[in-house]
This record gives sequence, structure tokens and C-alpha cells, in this order.
Amino acid sequence: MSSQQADLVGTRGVDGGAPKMSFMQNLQKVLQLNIRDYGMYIALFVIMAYFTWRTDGLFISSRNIANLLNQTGYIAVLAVGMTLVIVVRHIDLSVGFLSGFLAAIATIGMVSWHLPWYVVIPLALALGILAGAITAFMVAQLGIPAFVATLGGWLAYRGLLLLSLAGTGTIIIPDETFNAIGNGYIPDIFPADTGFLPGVHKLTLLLGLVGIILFIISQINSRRQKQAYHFEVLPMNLFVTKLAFVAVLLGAITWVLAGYNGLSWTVVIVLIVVGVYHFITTQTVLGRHIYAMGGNPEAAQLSGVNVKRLTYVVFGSMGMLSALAGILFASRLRSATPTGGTLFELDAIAAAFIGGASPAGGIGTVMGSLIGALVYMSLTSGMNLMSTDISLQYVVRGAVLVGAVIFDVVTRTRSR
Amino acid sequence: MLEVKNWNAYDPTLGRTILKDVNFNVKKGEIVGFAGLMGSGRTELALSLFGNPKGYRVKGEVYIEGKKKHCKHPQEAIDAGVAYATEDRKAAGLILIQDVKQNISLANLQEIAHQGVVDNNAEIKVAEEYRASLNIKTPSIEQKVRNLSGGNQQKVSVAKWLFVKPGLLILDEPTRGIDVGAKYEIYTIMTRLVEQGMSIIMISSELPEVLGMSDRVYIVSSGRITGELPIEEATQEKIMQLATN
Repeated sequence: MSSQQADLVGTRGVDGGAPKMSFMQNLQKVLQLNIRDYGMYIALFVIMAYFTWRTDGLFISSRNIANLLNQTGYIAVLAVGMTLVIVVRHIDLSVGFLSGFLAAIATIGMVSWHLPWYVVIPLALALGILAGAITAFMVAQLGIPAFVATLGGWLAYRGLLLLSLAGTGTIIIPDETFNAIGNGYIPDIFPADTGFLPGVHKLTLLLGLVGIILFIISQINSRRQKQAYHFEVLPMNLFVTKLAFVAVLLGAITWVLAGYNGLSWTVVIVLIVVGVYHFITTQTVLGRHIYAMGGNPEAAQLSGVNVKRLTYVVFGSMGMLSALAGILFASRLRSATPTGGTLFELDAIAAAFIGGASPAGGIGTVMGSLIGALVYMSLTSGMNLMSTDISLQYVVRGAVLVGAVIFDVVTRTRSR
Repeated sequence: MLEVKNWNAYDPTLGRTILKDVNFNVKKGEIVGFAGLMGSGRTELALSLFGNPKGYRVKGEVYIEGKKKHCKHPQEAIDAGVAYATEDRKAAGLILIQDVKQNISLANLQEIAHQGVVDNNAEIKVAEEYRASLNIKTPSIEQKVRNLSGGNQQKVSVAKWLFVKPGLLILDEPTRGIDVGAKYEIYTIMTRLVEQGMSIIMISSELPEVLGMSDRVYIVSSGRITGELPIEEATQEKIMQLATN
């Protein structure tokens, strides 16, 4: 790369070779340039700090954080699927009652048809994919707007949910393995009563440590690669600060969780879903095609992207994740109820928008939506702990949603 | 290279026939100009051959490299060695919110992917190659295409299609809305490509450009080919007469 080009790169101010700036100047500049990326993390941090302060530390207690993560589980799973739907410029309103309905089917399968949990779960997931394919057929083949098609689904699945539980009402799930998905924790491979850290879940600590090490290694590798191609990278001192910040954060979460019962199965499932979807969206041809279709459907199609097929993939995955969310929720309640899944779709959409997804299409990340779901559920959890009036809670959640989108729009128009 | 026989197309959304009995051919290493008035059906002709993304009802025969082909999707046309750089690069050609390298690699991700996983290093290499060979002026290949000038956007669009390594490149209004310097660069690139054996179809409404660049000119009017002129016989007057009859 010629020196002239290097200069051009450097004008954006975060190039390692740029004139020496103080640490604070660097930090200020990086925050200004990447405010959209870091905004959500800062918001989550501020919200958690505020509630911790107002509840005298109750919010950050092991028990509450464990509960918070378990409650976030089904919304996070839906938000991940919804992110892809929003990225390709569609919306799916049917996911709430679809997850309620599929949870009811899974429960009936276990209770009335005496099927084991390892049959009903794949069955529910497959039915979810089928439901998504029906939506995709209407959207891609018949050209119906997704809003209308899935509004139809919202009504239809609500009716089917009521119908499927009409004779029985709420059904209690007797299968303890199934119920463990929403209530259980991973077993500790080390005895709990050793002298070393008694009462702490050591497998959770170990997994947390492995996670931190893997994160640091991957960050160092990607920085090296970027440097090899003379791309902008964070200055060394900021890079170390970022690593330390994330490591401390992950470490703190691990420590807090290990102090209660350790990692719950729900968190494990969410982490797997987020990991797989993060990989697909950022590293694969499929992911590139999804973002290309969202960024400009016509250009994507003319570049050989099969837009119809992608619509099936995106809605199919949304249907599958709806089924998973329904399973998580039913398992957590140990029952299927006629109101299961009510308003999940709006929580998931809100989480995706808070997490930075753009209704204009082509923008939105799986990680962002996970953080969005955490922000959203932290608000609920924190306000519940403070015994805030439920009516006020809705107003605050609405304000945060709109505020997040305003922030997104303003920072986008300002950065060119 | 390309031979089209008795090609007809009907647009179900407009409810009328848009192409009627079109016959033409393109030889290897040749630039063939398609002149005509706006709305004469040149873009529709290109789209109907390039995998027919608008869903026209087509009839007729297309031979690519001597083999009869019927491409039902742009991907099939790309696989057959045809590339089409659209006239409206902002609305239908580029993904403006994505960066230069993502736009360049989009139509041929398979080439830089292993088992569906994109090799980011290979992508950077490819993008840097085209940035150098087409002289795309951008601070970095990570720059969003939205921030480039019209001429450089057009070069990114051309780079994207060169990366699929086509035998036939269809350029639809390749110099619309770009400055003189960039126009000249686009012409230079075209000359270089045909020297390397590529065939080019240039659809253009600017007659001096058609006359200056083409080896042969077809004139299109109301969905029909109304004339074919070797470049020695082509003049602005003759083309205008055929384009308006």
C-alpha cells in the first residue's frame, strides 16, 4: 500500500500508525466513530448499574441474574430469528402464538400420546419449520406483504392454540427431563464440598474461563490479520482496554452465575443458538446473501442470489426458533397454557430494534439482538424488583424502544 | 459467442409484448452496440436473456458458445458465462450500505468460499486486485460504496462482474452520470477486455459513444431490431432514422 493510501486510511483517526494521541483522545475518537456499535453495550451497562444501585445490589445478585437470563432465553431466541426477518425487510407477527401453539402440541404429545421428550421436541421444531415455510410461500410466491401474511398467522395460531387446549385447559407437564430445559442447571463435574471454593459451581467457572481465553485469542488473531492488510485497527492501549473490559465482564457474569446454581440449560441453549446464527450471518455465503438481499433485493437478485429461496430459509428458521422458544417457555412454566406466547412477537421485535436492526433492511446483528433482549428484560426485571407500577413499566419500555431507534437513526444520518 | 433466434417476450405486469422476433449475434472479442431510444426495449432484452429476473414470458432460442441454453435465474446465466451490469447502479446494481469488497465478491462468493464459509483473506485479495487493475479510487476496500463517486461506483459494478469471469459482459448505459475522466477509464477497460477475448454488449443512448466504441451496431425500436450496421456504415443520422421508424 502506498504512503498516500495509508494516509487516507489514517485520516479516519484510528489507524495504529496515526500521530501519537493520548489514551483519552483515542478513546473519545473511537467512541465517536463507533458509537452505534458500542451504544447498546453502554446502555445495558447503565441500566444494570442503575437497577443495582436502586435495589441495593439485589439486581446483581446471583439469584436474580440467573432468573433474568432464564427469562430472557425465549425472547432472545425469537429475537435472533427476528433479526434475520427484519434484515431481509420483512416482519413476522405470528411467532408468539405459533410458539404457544407448538408448545401445546409438544405437551399434548407427551401427556396424551405418551411420546418421549426426544420425539416431541424435534416434532415441534419440524412443525415450526413447516409453519415458516407456509408464511414464506405466501410472501415469496404469492407476493403478500409479510405484515399481512403473519397477521393472519397471528390470528390462526391463536385460534389453534385455544382449540388444542379447549377440552383440557392448562396441561401440566409431568416429564422432568423436559422441564429441566427451562429450570435445570448443568451438573458440576467437580464435587461441591471440596475445600477449594465451596458452594461455587466449578464447571461454570471453567467454561467461563475457556470462553474468555477463546475470545482473547480470536481477537488477537483478527487484529493480526487486519494489520497484515493495513486495515484500521484499534491502537494497542485501547485494544488491551477493550479485551480487559470484556474479560472482566464475562468473568463477572461467570462468577455471579457460579455463585448460584451455575449455567442453566436455557443459557446453554441460547448460547448455542446465538453462536450458530452469529457464525452463519458473519462467516458464510448464506449470511452474505441474506444481508445482500436486505441491503438491496433487486441488486442481490441480479447478482445471482436466489431471493425466493432465502425467504424460505429466513421464515423457516424463524418458525423453528418459535418452536424452540415455545419449548423453553412451556418447560419453564412446567405447563402449556392457552395464553402461552402472548405478545412474545412484540417483545422479540422490540429486542431486535433496540439491538440495532434497521427496518430499512440489510442492517442488524445477532449479537446486537441478544444485547437488545437483555436490555429489554433487564428493564422488566429491574422495575419488578423496584415494584414499579405495571402501567409505568409499559411507558418506560416504550420510551426505551423509541429512544433506541431514534439514537440509531440520528447516528446513522450524522455518519454521512 | 452468443446467438439469439426469434426471441419474444411478454410482460405480464404491463400486459403487452415487449420484444418481438429479435435475432442477433455477438462474436468473440467484439463490442456490439445496442442503440435506440429510451424505452425501446434494450434493457428488457438484456434482462430477459440474463436469467429473466422480472418473470417475462419468453419464447425463442438462445445459444451460448454454440450450446442451447435456457436460463431461468440470473445465477444460471452467470454460470453460463454471461454478466449484466445494470443501467441503474444505485437502485439495482450495488448494495450501497455495504463496502467495496463485499460488493465486488457478491456475485461469485463460491470462488472465495470453502464449504459455504467465506475466506475473508481471499476476498480482500480479490478486492485489492480489482481496485488496482480498474483504478477504483477509494480510501479503503472497507469503504461503503455509498460514499464513492459515480464513476468509482460504476467501476465497482464492473469489478463485480469481471470477478465472475464472464465470456460475455452486458453493459447497460455504462457511462450514465459519471464524469469525463471516469468515462474515458471505462472505455479503456472495455478495450482491454475485448483484447483479452471477452465479448461485450454495450447498451447506450449516447450515439457518439456507440459509434466510438462498437464494432457493430444493432438498432432497437419498439421491441424489434430495426437495423444492423457495421461500424463503417453507421452514422448518427442512419441510427436515428432506424431508431424512430
